[in-house]
Amino acid sequence: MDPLFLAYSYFRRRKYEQCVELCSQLLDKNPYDQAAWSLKTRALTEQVYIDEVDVDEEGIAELIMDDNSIAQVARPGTSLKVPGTGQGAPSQGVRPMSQSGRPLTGFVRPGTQSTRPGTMEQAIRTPRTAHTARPVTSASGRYVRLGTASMLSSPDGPFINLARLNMPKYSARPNLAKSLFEYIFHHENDVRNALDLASGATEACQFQDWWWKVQLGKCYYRLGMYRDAEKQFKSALKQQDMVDTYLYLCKVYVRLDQPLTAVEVYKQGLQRFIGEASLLTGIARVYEGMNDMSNTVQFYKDVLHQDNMSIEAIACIGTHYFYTDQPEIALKFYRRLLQMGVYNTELFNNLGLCCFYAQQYDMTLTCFERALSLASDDNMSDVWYNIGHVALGIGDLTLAYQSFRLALASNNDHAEAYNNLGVLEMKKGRLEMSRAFFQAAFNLAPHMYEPHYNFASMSDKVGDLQSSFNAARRASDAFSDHMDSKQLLSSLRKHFAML
Amino acid sequence: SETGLQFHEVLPRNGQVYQEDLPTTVLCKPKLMPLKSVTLERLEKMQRDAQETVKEQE
Amino acid sequence: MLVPVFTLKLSHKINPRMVAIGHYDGKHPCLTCATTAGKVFIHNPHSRGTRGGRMEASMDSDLNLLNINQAVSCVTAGQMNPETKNDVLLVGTQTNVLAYDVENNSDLFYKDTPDGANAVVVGNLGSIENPVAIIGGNCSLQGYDLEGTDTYWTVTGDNVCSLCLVDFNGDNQNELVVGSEDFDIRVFREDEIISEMTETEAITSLCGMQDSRFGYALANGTVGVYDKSSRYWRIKSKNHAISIHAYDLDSDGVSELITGWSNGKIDARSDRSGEVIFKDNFAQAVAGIVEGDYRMDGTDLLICCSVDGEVRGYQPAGQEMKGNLMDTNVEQETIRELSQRKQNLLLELKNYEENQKAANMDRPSGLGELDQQQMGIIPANTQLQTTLNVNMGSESQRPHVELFIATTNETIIQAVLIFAEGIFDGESHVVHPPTATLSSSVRVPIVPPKDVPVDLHIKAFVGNKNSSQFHVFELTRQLPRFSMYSLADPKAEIPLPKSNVTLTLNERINRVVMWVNQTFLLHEDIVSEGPLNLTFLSLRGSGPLCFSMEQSGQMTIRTDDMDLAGDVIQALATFLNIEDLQSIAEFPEDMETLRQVLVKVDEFHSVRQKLTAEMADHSNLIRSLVVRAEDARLMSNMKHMRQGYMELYNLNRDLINGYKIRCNNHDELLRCLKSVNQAIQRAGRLRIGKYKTQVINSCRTAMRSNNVSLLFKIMKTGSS
Repeated sequence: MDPLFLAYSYFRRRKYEQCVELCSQLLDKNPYDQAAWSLKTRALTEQVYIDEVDVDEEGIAELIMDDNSIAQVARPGTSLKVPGTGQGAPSQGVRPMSQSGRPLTGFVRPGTQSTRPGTMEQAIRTPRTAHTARPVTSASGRYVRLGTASMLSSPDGPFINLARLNMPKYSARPNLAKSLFEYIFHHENDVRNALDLASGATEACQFQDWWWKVQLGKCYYRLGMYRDAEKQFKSALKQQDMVDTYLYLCKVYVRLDQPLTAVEVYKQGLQRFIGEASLLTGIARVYEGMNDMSNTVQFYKDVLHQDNMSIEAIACIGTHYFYTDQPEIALKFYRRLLQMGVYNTELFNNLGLCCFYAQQYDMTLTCFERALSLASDDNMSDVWYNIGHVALGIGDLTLAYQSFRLALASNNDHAEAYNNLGVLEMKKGRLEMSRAFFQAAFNLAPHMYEPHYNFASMSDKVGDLQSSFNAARRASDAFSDHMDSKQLLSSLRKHFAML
Repeated sequence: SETGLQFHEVLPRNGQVYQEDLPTTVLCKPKLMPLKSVTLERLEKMQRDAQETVKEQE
Repeated sequence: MLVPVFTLKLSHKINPRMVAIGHYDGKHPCLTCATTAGKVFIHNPHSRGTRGGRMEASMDSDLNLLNINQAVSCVTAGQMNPETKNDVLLVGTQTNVLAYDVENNSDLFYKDTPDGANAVVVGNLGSIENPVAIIGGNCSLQGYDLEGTDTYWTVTGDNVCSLCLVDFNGDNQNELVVGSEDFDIRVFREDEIISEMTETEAITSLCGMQDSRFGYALANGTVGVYDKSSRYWRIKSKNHAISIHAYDLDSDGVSELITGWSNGKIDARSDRSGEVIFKDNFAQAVAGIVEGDYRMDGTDLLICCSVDGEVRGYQPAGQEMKGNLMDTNVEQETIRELSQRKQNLLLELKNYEENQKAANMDRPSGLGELDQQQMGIIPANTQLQTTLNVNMGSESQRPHVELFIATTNETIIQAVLIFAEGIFDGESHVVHPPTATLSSSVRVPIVPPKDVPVDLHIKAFVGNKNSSQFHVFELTRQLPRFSMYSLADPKAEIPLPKSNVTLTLNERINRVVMWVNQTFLLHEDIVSEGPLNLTFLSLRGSGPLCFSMEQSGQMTIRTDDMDLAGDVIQALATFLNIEDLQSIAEFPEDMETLRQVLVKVDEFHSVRQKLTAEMADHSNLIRSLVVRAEDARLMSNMKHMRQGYMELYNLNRDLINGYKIRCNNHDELLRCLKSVNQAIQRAGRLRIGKYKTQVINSCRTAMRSNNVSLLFKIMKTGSS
């Protein structure tokens, strides 16, 4: 078989390594073979290709030193920085909050784990593990690491030496320029050179090619030049309506902290591409960011109308139903995911919880067993934690105690497990232990109100009114509508006033 | 969650001798685990592979 | 005395001339000002009650800061969407303009303005349906509607300093009044200039008053009111007027002109006469004046702000205080002023009486010559004559226009005072010949800087050699527009200028000759016989100016100065009442300069892109380094922290250097763009009426599509 044809066949079958090897052999024989060169470039790119639309990582640097959003204090309900009070959502009393001050989400993408810390110190001190917030130092850092990853894939040195590349020459060759651009952007992660190539190419085709404008926009987005990115995307849209361009443009608006504008643009896209699932998903994500749960659920449902296999939509709606006291319906959603072939720890854990609360006790433990068998070190603790909850539900305090301990064994920083252990210790009467547990819990997760409140209540019982007062105040800060902590605070205030 | 109906409790005045509010403790809620997107999984896999390759090379 | 009904001290400085007021939610007015560090703050005292209970109602929580991240150059708020009552905030910087919906925290549009944004105004212009936001930049005016489409563009003579919308000609549609740096006020009906007035300095503020009146302020401290194209009144001060506004302070139904000065004074002047009816003082310079119903009680208050953040609101005086707004102190001052005037008049009267007495007195020896002379008695039929001539100058004197003043007899001229706008520093000139050279005539050199007709108000002191009292003769003489050009000798060999303009007039030659006689300084009127052929030499040294005209009406104007050609055509058209005129222009040198400028513009643009990308990359690096350094500090790893900060220091220096280069690049680019706009303007002035508009619009389209050859063709032939 003709070797180039074979290489193409490998490429189509996604056997990238073989393809690259074959192409390298061809290039050794004839270094000017454009077809082989182009194919090798594309194969190398496909090995590390990630859909840029989904990538939204914001590092600590971007979060704290953010001058892109126009309004520093926008009206609540119009900004992603100030998640408004949840509309149509259960409060913190029912649904656990994540570090970012938003309720725990059903679906996680790169970037949604990030938080908006107050000061640099806070941001750096927060533990950066997979389950609490993970603000990476800076987005560019991650790209550099990815670049390193790709360097490892070609151990004999980079395939294309960017420093010696003659950009204008390649800009003028449309058949080579596009694959070269993708290589530089995705494989080498070198945005500056990519930008050079893209500018040259756009000029060469006299600003008539919408694809180059979109690539320019992507480069500007990576560099943080959001307004320039916006201009490019808008210009591309004028020439050619494409769903991707709408998605990129809305990413820009989200970064500029203008969620309502983003929703507007998504809706415009929907007028052109009626019922496009990715646009609907985009709107749902924006509403979730603003904590507007009723709209979020509405839009995820619309997504499901169009694309009933959207894992994101199913997961988020499932989570929503679970926390709004309808575990049976949540169970249906998660079962659908199972039917679709999703087979991982998270799903089985969720199925287990839903079964238990929907009173399908026969399925509960088998689901958790599956979850445990599939779990990795990161996930194990959450599964054990939920098993502990089930144990509490059936009244088996020993099993609950053991489960929470096991949760801690896999993850020493599991704040919820500490808190619940503290509650169990209190029931047993071992106040010192419970105090230690509560302290551990609220040191690890100051955004949760439960350990603060528990600590306050326990200190009050013991008589340590000062710490009780401080803790109660912290609990109130974390969850302002908590009646019990408010009551505690007011009674303590009265007490102090009397002194 | 709020329902449309409201129940008014009836607390009898006679017969009530003593009311004590014990300080309660609050449990953290059961935690549904968020599912990961394809992109995130791929990213994590790539990072893990890269780290392993680096370890092997050392 | 009018006291402010509220005073606020905001914790931010306010940039002068960047103050506006907007109803962002359609109901509550909010004061909006640009402040330091590229931010704009919005002061909203109305929502205190509606916010969550845990926020303290402090001054700071009323201020909402917006990050613009660039030095702000103009701010305004106005309604752009005819369907909602929410105002849109418009912020202009040197490179972009942002239209922002404060209520919803979303942009309406964010556009690049390569010509900068020096002034912005929102409203309905002419017959354009929807409200437009008009931005005045360096030589250009651009208008955007609510969606960001540009519905309006035109060029003007120089950098725009101020804008306002006024119904100039009473046609129930707004015209745009533009104040520029070249001392001209131009009035545009959409993109056509319907009126042009020349002032003596850059026009820094404009504000519409009642009907067709508008107030203006110049950079030299002059403030006044125009009614259509004639000036109603003006006053001069040694302070600068930072901001002007029209507001009816004494409730008499007519707005007064409120002026905020650079020394912190605020005064209100009646629009009829300019007399001050109210004064107040701020500790620092005034930043801006707006009006709005700030206390939500139904009356619009006059709100004045100073640069240190002090804000005061004034209510219009009640009916009973009409006319009595001033302090009693000021009334006393008026009395003092009047009594001073009375003194002066009495003195004058005494002089006349003495003269009368001397004339009627019977001395035994009769009145000697000496006595008569001392009294300053001059013959009753003495007249003062004035002539204007072109003086080619000599080695010691530049070429100039000479004003020759002489008396008709032996009386001498002791001193001459000339008042004229725009020619002399301080608008007046005094000639006081030394006693030895006193004679019955005086020659005054005058050098008008621009080609505009000027009225010279002359006052001459006439008397006898030994008089101590003089008669004052007053007269006015008009200096024609092109007085700085002298008619050349027809036999002299003068090289023809390389550039020319050809046009066709539907007029007879002798009409043109009449115009020449009126607008040039000639010894004797030219008489037309057959085809016209005249050559003038410019006293300013810009070369010869030749007119030639055939019986068929075809006229050629030869000069190397494109501005002059434009001036000539405009003046000729006004005289002959021509509404539309097309012309063909041949200015090879100017075109060559323009071509080079355009090449440079392209270069600057591409360099700019590279520099911007570099800077963005650098900033990202710096950000991550800062985080790493902080991390090291928190872990008490001092060595790493120090390393990190050293790297940061170097990177920072690189960034600043990069920024400086970018600044230079940008300045050069601006200069080039401005000269391009000016070139288009000059090309426009060579035509009249609809041809002028056509030229400007086609040039603009050519520029946008980067079609340089088309641009040159349009400038030459007037159409594409």
